[in-house]
Amino acid sequence: MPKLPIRPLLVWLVSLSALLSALAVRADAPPAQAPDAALKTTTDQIRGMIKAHYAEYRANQTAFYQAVNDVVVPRFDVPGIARLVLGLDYRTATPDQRTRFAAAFKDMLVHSYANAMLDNNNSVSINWMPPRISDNGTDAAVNTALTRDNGQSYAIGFRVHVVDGDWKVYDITVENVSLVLNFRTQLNAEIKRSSLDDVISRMQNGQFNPPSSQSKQKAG
Amino acid sequence: MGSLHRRWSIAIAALLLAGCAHRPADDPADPLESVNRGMWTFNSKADQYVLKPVAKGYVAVTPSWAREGVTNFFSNLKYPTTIVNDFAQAKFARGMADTARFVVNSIYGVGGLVDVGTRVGLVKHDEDFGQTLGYWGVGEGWFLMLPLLGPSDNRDLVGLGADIFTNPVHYLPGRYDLPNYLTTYVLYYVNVRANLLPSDSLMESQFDTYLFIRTAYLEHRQALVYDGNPPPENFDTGEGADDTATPAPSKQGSPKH
Repeated sequence: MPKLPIRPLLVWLVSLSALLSALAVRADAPPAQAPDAALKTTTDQIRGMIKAHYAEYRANQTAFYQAVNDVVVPRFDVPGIARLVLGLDYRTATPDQRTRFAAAFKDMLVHSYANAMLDNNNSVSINWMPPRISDNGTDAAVNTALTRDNGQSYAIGFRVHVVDGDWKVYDITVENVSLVLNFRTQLNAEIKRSSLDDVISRMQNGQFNPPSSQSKQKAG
Repeated sequence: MGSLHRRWSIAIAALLLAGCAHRPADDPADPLESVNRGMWTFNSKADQYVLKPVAKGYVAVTPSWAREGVTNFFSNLKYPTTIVNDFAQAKFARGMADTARFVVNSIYGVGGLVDVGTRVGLVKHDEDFGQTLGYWGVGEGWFLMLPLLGPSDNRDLVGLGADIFTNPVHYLPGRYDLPNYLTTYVLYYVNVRANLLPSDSLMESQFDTYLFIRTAYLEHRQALVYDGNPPPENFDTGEGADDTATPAPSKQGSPKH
């Protein structure tokens, strides 16, 4: 009876497992889930919650914002969005300013888009297109067509990349108009006009238009 | 049109297009910004006091199927322009499909009121002469805010002029009679504005509506030049070469609409 080569086998197994665990902790390792599947999971989850709690969310805005914060926001790379939106101003911002800006920007988006989600939840269907994934597998563009029940269709796109082993959104495009690029243009100009701290506090108070020139422009 | 008239038009078009190169939408050429901003304020006032109330009234008194018919009708009326510019961009298969769509919608869709084409799988496309110029490499030039007509740029202003020649309305008898002219254009703009009413709340959460419109317009036009599949903008500002930098998705799928 031949003797089994236990020792070499053991060495081989140990080194293999070491290699595997080394691969596993690589930050950029592509997630198991496809980017469109990850987005679809989040979308289905919030839409299901709206369907189940529609009347409650209508009556209690705080509860709805809380649900969006719990379900939708984790799918977003909030610090990454803050960095991209601030652009060159990010470099000169202090760590405290960066954190405060990221939080204020996130809240602003939640407040602007949550109600649109609530209003349109029952009248839209989402058609997911195949994602376009970068060669290294850590960046992807997922396009969707949002169709309202009156037949009008809108192109909504998500740019996602891998953060901590999962796909996170860092830009949304509506009819190819990028959210990041748009706010970057506006914020760069606003920060030049006043200061980053001023812009952060205005975002927190929901005062977007500068009080001097444009407050009268709001159409009733 | 007299030949002198035509020569002047060509000279102005050449002047507008001179030195047009593509610039990113967040940093466009806008040397007329102060004039444009004044025009934007004027347009916003005109919208606030005239166009928006009229559009709201229009939505109130017409059923949604009627507005959909009006939208379809004008979209079909624009189709000769789309077809000519398909061919001008050497998109021959699409030009043939769009010709079929125009015929189907004009005949079976009762002059374009019903969008039969989409139902039988003839996808709607959007082409105009501004896009044709962009397709052949002409950049957008200066950003412009036109009185009442809204955002544009040098390239699209030339396109707007050229598109007059492919607009069937301009070949109808009696087209310059004031009542006909007014009915067509007033209905067109009121209907366009009515379709935009749901987006109005978007304007309230912007820091600077002029910059919002400028960026959105230029990005939207750039996307149309690439038929909805523009090369991704590079967001990288040189802040750290980590994963926030955005490599271009390389597996480009075929343009989907």
